[in-house]
Amino acid sequence: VMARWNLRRGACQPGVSPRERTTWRRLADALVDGYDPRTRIYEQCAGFHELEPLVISRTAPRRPVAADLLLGRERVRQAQIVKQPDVLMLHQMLPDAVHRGSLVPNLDYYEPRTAHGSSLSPGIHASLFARVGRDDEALEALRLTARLDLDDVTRTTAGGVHLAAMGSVWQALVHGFAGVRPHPRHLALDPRLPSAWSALEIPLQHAGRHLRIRIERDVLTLTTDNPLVIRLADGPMRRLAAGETRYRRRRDDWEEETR
Amino acid sequence: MRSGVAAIDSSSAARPVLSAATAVAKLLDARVDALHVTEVDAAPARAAADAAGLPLRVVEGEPEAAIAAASSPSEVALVVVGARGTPGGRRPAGHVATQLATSLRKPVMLVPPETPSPVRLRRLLVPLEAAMPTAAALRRLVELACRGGVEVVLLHVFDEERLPLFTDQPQHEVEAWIAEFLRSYCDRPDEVQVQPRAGVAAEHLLAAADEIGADALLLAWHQQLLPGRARLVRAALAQSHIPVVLVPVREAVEAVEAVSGAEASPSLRRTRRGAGR
Repeated sequence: VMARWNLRRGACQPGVSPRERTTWRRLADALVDGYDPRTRIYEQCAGFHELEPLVISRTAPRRPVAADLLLGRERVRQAQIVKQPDVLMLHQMLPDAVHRGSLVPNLDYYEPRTAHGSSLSPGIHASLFARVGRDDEALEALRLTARLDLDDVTRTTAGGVHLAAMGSVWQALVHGFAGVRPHPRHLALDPRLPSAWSALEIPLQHAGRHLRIRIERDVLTLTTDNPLVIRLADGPMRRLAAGETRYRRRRDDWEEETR
Repeated sequence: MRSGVAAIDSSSAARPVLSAATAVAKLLDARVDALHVTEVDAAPARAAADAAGLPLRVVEGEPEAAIAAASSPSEVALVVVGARGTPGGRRPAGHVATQLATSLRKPVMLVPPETPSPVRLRRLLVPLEAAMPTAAALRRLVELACRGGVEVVLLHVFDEERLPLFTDQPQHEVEAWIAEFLRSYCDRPDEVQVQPRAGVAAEHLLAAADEIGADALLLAWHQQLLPGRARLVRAALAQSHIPVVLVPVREAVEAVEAVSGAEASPSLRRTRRGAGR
């Protein structure tokens, strides 16, 4: 999927010859991505479904767990154990490049098979759980990641803090709960505030603009120093004027409140 | 002067017991008091003591009671006994050895009869869980061993419950984890090694002892050999070919003070109160 995305993006770049453009696009179209339209699941790698069907969420005393130490490297290699999001990372990084509606089936299939043996794993899962509205699981994963070094969970924090894991906390908040996605010509937002929170406020920079996003139960307040084009959930493109604009949720859409 | 009581019977286990007692007494700067509780004939015990160059006290009575009585004075820092009379003898340990190890409030060294003589204490393997009471119990003996030039290797086995959560970059994390472990549980972090393993502690203990060429094992325990308890101690006693030193945890303060002849540190006394055992 990533190779295909890169080939197609590359083909759009200036300076690419027509011949290269055609070749890259043909290659992109020919790539096999392991997606099964019946199950809506992407196969982790060729042959993954033939590995030992070990679901680590049922086997391990708890997760996260260093599966290599628990089961031995050889067994892990031959079982359906994933250390950290891989197929699910596609959904995190390129949500528009995967099949629509495939997040939930892949989350249900791969998350129980994920040992979370990387400190980068829980934060990404927090983001994905947030996207599908599974607040409890999202918050549990977020809490673990956010407190990784505060609680010295790994007993190695004296040797160095986990900066990338801290980054995944930001990703969970911004891409997960706020549903922020940058696009070439607009900024997409799809807030999913957990019921346990009263508000989430995020300062952002996008395309040279300084924004502040405040998400409350049914109110979204956007403040920008310069106009930009936004899209809220699956709604239409809108022009966001400089200054503060409030939107109120109406079912699955957001309606601008007149000032 | 501190002393160690080396209790011997008439079996071939006597010589390794006396040899081990001599080696550990050197470490503790203690004398060895060899003791035999006579049942039939003390001649074999006398011969063993003569061969070791040690005077032998011969007493009568029940062996456990007599040895316990001889061990009760405060200057007695350690008791050394045979784990069993013969290599094929009772597991995990013989009756007298078991009684002494579970009842005496002092470190007891159990010496397998097949221990090679002379016993040399050059390398000590110490299984250490990440728990303050056991670390506190072993702290002083580890310190004495280091001071005495003995190489100390701490073995930490992650069981299923204590497995690390993450292995991002083992090449960095293992070192960082070891440093943190030593800071938390060892007073001499620069003088000991740590070997982390994962799995069943009892399996790794004996394998590690063979691998590093350990001369003795040092374990802290709660003196409970009931079924389902003290699995590591049982395995060590049943299968080890080298001496096993058992240090009572619940009496860490007294054990430490007996061994070192010094008052236990305030932090250990606080640990003792907090352990609630």
